[in-house]
Amino acid sequence: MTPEGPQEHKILFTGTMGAGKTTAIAAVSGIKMVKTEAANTDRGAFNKATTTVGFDYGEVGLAGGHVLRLYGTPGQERFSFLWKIVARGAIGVIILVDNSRPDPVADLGLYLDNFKKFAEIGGVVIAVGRTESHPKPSIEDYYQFLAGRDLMLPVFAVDVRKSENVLMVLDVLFNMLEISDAESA
Amino acid sequence: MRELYISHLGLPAADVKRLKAVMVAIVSGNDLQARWCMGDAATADLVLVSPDGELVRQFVADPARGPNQVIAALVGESDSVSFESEKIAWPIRLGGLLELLQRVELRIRKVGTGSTPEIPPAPADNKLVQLAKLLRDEDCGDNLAWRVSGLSDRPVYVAPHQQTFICEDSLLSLLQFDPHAAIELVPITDAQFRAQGQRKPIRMLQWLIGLRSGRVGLLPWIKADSTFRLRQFPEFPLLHHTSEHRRIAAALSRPRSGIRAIVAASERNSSAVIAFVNAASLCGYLKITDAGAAVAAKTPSAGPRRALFQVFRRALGIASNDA
Repeated sequence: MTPEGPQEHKILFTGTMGAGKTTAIAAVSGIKMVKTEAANTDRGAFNKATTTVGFDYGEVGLAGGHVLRLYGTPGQERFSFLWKIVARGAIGVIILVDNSRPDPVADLGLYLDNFKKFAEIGGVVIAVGRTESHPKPSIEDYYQFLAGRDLMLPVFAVDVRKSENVLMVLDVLFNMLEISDAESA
Repeated sequence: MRELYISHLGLPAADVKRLKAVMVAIVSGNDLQARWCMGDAATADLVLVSPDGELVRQFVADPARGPNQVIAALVGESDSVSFESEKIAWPIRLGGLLELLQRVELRIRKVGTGSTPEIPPAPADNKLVQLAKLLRDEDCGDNLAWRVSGLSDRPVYVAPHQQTFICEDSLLSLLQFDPHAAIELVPITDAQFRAQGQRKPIRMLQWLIGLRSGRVGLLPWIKADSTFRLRQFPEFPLLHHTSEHRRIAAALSRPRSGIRAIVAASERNSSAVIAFVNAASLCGYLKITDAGAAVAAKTPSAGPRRALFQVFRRALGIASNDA
């Protein structure tokens, strides 16, 4: 941070509709979240009444008036043009995967393609939800998929309703970025 | 900036509260070369202890304690200390503690520039090591389970071939287990095992036993100069862990040649790294090869955003050594 004035830092939560982006941000945000939800017209993809069509926003106040901004991307692929816009200037990305979907590993592939730049520097952590009710694919399957792409990124089975899980994921992201920074310094 | 850990043992709650308050004041200043965090007594670089008490005497006398760990007794005017240690005057004051931290930093720097300390292999006849071997061994018989006595108040039942175990006591009590104490391993039948209670994933036990075995050294089948890399990250939501473990895991997302390279990359002390490597190895999270391409060990250089990440952690309430 520089002495010029308060700075903003950004972390992105992305993933398919219903993966828990809104819940994850709410679990750690220091303010009441700003949501841009609308009636879900794609109940075939995920059966919930509303879904995020713009982006979710939460923030954490830092010392000196600085702010850590937490953005959740809209889940539906038709809004993918927004993903890269929201990602500009982000420090890192949390990809939330819903293990109850038909092909969650392919879902992960889609998001890795879209956030490749972050994945290559270790700036991505993958959080897989609903593993208790849907244990397959296993966490090992995700690691195999990543190895096929020559990537070693953290993958955790999490419950994003638990703030300690979300904080753990964020701390692992910070550590990955610190290690990456130190080795390229 | 290197990270060092301070911990305490046997101190009254009021002194612990005061220690934490004084540490907050100290770390917000610029008088130290390292970043100091509160840590676990087993692996901390400096442990403040009460001048008496059986627990403290056992801890100080424990041969498995890290050779570079500094013990400092908190002493009042009339206190005498029956073991060799640094001393800090009671009540803890900013000046006294700062001076002590600076002395520890100096000592650690001297050790760091001297001859490289050996990474101790754990003795193969140690019971904890034998238990670790049992937990690692998936070929110990299709119908064999074991009753393990001595780890906690009630026996622990282990079925490696089923990848499960049964423990009615708190798992955290296993972290207090004396790594030199006697453990009894008795084979039981699968039916006896099934009768015992609720089964848990064996990784939870492997992880704790691995961490604890770090107190006696590197597990005998692991070579300190191997190349290490995570096969997968430890299942942190399932496992008792601290921020130290998250840090070492991140360092091991890339291949590292030898324990010392992990110490350098993670900037954590060798005791913590050995404990992590033992635990991750037992759980199957770690790929260990004799040779191979690895990121060379180098003097850690703080990246430009390190201070920023610390600010994030503080704001989010991510403690420096949480569980």
